[in-house]
Amino acid sequence: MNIVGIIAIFVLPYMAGYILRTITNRKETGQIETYLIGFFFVFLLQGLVFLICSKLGYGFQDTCYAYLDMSVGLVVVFAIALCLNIIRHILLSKGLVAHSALLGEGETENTYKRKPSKQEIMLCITTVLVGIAIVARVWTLIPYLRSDIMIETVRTTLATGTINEYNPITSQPYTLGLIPMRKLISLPTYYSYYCEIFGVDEVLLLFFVLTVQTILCTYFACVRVVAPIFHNRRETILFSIFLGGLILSGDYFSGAIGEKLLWYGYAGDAIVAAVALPYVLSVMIGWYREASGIVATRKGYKIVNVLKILLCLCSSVFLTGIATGALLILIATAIASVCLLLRLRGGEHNG
Amino acid sequence: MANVAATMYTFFQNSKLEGSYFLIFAISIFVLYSLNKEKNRYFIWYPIIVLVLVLANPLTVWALSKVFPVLQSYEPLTVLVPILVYIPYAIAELITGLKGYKERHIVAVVLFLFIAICGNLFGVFGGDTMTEANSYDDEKMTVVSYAGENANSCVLADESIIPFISAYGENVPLLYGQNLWTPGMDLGIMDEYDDDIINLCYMMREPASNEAQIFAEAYEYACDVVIVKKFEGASITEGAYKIDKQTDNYYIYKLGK
Repeated sequence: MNIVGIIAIFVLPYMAGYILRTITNRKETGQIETYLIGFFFVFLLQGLVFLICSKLGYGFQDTCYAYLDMSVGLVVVFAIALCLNIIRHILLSKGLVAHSALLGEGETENTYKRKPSKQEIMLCITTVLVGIAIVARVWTLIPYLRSDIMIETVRTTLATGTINEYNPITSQPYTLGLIPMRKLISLPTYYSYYCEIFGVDEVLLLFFVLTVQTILCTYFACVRVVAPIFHNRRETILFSIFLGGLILSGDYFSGAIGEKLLWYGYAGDAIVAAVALPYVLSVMIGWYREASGIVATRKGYKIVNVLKILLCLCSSVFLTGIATGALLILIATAIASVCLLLRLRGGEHNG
Repeated sequence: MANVAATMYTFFQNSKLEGSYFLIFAISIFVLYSLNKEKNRYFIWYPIIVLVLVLANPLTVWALSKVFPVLQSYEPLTVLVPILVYIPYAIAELITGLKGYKERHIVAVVLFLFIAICGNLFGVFGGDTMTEANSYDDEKMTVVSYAGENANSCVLADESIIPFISAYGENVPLLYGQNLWTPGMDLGIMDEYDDDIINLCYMMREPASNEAQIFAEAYEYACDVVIVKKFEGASITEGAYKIDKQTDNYYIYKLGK
């Protein structure tokens, strides 16, 4: 059962992203961006489920079953979306239906016929090697047990079978209750669900599984920031190698993002800082490139970009609360907008 | 004004922005500017605006001190600058800008060794952060295990062991937790503890000079286990408490029957 839980943690974000991609018919969205969008969408969904369960007065067990229903629902909808896309692809390839009727935004007749170039294959290999190095490095860190509010909260939730009734730091019942902002943070309950339902050990879950997932998503998000700007894949490969090296040797000092990722990658603020913020910046840069004509403009790109930023914003509320999550994303978006607007007004065009 | 400047410097120091990691980031911005300032303009302006408008702004310190009074660091805000993107981006631009095949490979290897190995093995940038203080070693496991087996009412413990009792003790009740002294952006943390408990926390930091008061307060709060850092002149018996176990760094007192 714990293998199922571990696989679900890695696979659910892709399923969620695939569903959104199918619904919005945005076929130009690559696999990496699909995963990142799904990553945030899963956090948003679990936060909404948590809110609804809190309002309905559900206890920990019932909330876990609600999360299980959410996960199963995602799997079912993904299966339906996948079947529909397979049918569509068969119809297209056999010429049974006119192409224009079934092509999605950003898709052409040759989208699936194109073979990957040698550099694209090298980039994939580089990504796989960096991924293996990340998994190996994080695996060696598991024995260094560390204390953190997240593991305290997860263990308290599992031990008491309650949500937000016991102070995880003192193990005493709350007398004053929680301030509203802290009641929004659903991440510890969501992590506890995997331990409770699938039997995943909490140390393995937090220190390995979730840390690896966050670091991989950080890698994807950071590559997305600069990859569209590079002239060829070779530069992206170089960037990926050095990014991987920087993350893996990130124990520079307490406070460096690499240190936060390696030792506390499961924490909400690490996810916001290392994944959400770079992804928001990549969306802003992509928006600028379309608005200034550097790349071809897609239909509805402004709405799509706003939705992506809102997705990061809303999911961050459930990850860290409003202060260290949503506020940071708002500040980053505002400053990035200023930079890009100034550049747009300057009327410069660089490829 | 001088007060705000002093507070800003405290924030700056506590955020460890004076380290070499930040210096490499600054060099990266310079490299990007030198190589292609037109193409990289929005990469250059974004961190400068963040640094000027957010981090080096007296208004930020003033606002933070009003809304989050226990926060003493820019650390939650420094993540606005994606240093993790800038350093490899500058390196990739630098290497691809070199004309010679051999040159590119030599520079790539040297820079990779510098970043990936020097930082870790030789502590050039600060080194391994899993220090003795935040590692759950055998001694701490012994103390936590004792607390788990013997605590019925609640435990008063030294700051260095409290986080581990919280994380790995099996629901061991503590008189206070690390949220009492850990700065953060949470609101209302200090309201969870009254002044007597806050004073007790300060006294626990110097058990040698406050021994009698610590144990008197512990008795008042019905703590059945008191864990203090070892100090010179500690008594075997203190009030109703007696040393039941000791480790290399801790005395563990238990409430007598």
